[in-house]
Order: sequence, then C-alpha cells, then structure tokens
Amino acid sequence: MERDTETDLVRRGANGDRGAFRVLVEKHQRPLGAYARRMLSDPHLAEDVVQETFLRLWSQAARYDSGAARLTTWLHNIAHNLCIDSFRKRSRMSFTDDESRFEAAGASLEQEQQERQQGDRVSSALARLAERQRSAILLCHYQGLSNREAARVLDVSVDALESLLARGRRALKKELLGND
Amino acid sequence: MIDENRYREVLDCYGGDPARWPADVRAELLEFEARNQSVEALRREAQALDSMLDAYRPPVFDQSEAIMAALPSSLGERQLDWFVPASPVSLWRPLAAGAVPLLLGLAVGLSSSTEIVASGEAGVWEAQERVLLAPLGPASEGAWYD
Repeated sequence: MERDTETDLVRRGANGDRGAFRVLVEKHQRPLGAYARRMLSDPHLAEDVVQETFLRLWSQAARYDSGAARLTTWLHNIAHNLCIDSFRKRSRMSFTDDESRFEAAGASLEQEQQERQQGDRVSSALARLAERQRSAILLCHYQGLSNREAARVLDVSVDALESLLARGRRALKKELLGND
Repeated sequence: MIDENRYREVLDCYGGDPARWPADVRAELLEFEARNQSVEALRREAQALDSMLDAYRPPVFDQSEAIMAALPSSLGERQLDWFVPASPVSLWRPLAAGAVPLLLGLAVGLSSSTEIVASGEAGVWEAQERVLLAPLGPASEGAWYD
C-alpha cells in the first residue's frame, strides 16, 4: 500500500469512515500484535495494547503527519509506549507462554516440540534483556523497521540504537549460542 | 568507506540478513564481502543467531472484529476518548465520564451564585423567602426554624 493511499485512509478514518479505518486495522493489527506479544510475553496484555493503539489512532487520526513518519512507525510508537506503561504497572515480568503454539505445517510432532522449546528459550532470553535493548531488537529484527524508523520509535539517535542492538545481540548470542 | 570494522559492526547490530542492513550502506557492504572471502565466517555466525531468533513465533490472533466493535461511534465519545483514553482493564474511565456532568453542574452552579451575590440580587431572594414563609409566622419569633 502506498503511503498516499494510507494517508487518505487515515484522513477518512479521522472523519469517521469505519470502512477506511477497517482497512488500516486489518493491515497493521497482526504486526503490532506480534510486537506487543514479544515485548510483554503475555497474550492478554498484548491484545489490550493493540486494541488501545487503534483506539488512539481512531480518536487522534487528525494528528498523524504522513510527512514526518510512515503510519507503521507512528503506530509502533504508540504501541511501544503502551507496552512501557504496561511494564510499569506490573511488578515483575511473567515468562509464562501457555498459549504458545507454532505453525509448522507438515512438520513432525518432534520437530514442532523442538521449535517450541527453542522459541521458549528465545522468549525467556529476550525477556531478560534490558527493556530498551529488547525493543531495539524487536523493532529491527522482527518488525522490519529501518534503523531510522526504530530510532524514531525509541526516541534515540541511530548511533544510540546501534549501541542498544549490539549489546542486546551480544547478550542473546552468549545465552542462546553460548559464545561472546 | 566500508572496512572490516564497520562490516563487523553492522553484523553485530543487524545480523546476517542483508535485508535488515541499513539501506544506505547495503550495496557497499555486499561489495566489501565479495572482495573479502575471509569475512564469510562472521556472516555465518550472525546468521546462526538470526535463525535462533526466528524460531520465536508467538501466535497472533486476528483482533480486527474486536477492535472495530470497540470503536466509539458518536462524535461525543470520540472527543471523550481524546481527553480520557479508554483502557480495557480499568474502571476509572466510566467514572471520569460520569463525573463530567457533575463537574459542569458544579461549575455552572458556583458561577451563578457568584453572579447573584455580585449583582446585589440577594435581597430579592430574601424578600421572596419572606413571602413564602409568612404563613409560618414572623421570623423574629423563631417559628421558621422550630
């Protein structure tokens, strides 16, 4: 979808056009859900974050400036801040992942089990990173944001983002692959 | 200019997939790599971590219907959302919304009473009160308040 088209959908959404807004929801809700889920390690909190992100878009769409950022960056910024709020409300991280299931079409049960265990290890390792290192890795590795977009979401320079990424990946490498 | 240090830095930050490398240096990095076969091992190492990370694919469910159903429909609700953002896990929003008319009423009431006193209309109210309470007897006998 071209940025112009998306900007038009946002503008129509700001005027109460539900059909236009639904197109935006259907395009962005899964990537945002994945981000919130990996950030929070909790499916219910992640769903709350996604819902609230779109409520904010609905009520504040008129504030979106397409010249300043892509819509996905703007939405990630909102979702990121909501995740941080959610962290602050929780006394400690929950590492439970009881609804985890992995789509491995055609894979054997054993392979699925192995992937699930590996996913659980990664989830725990990510959860143990400093929050800003985790955010940087999620935005660049999983969400496909460019370095400038990720830096914008985190409100840091690209140099600072690279420092967060390098430290985060070093820690993950040590924990997951057993080397520095 | 890309040298081995910068190449290592990029792998350390963005991993071994060129699609994730900064777009403005991607072509130069690939050229550097083609000229320096010795850096292949570094790339493979970065890719090993990428593969581990890619194994973490938590399920994400379609929330479209729930999101659309939760959208406020009226202009008033949208304006309320602006001032009092909705939160699915708290009760304070409906309480805050309910308090808005109360606060408006208090504000109007306070400003009206101030206007009456300020404009010297207190005497008019007092006279009306005397007329209404006259059947109960004169105020000096204290009958009004027994």
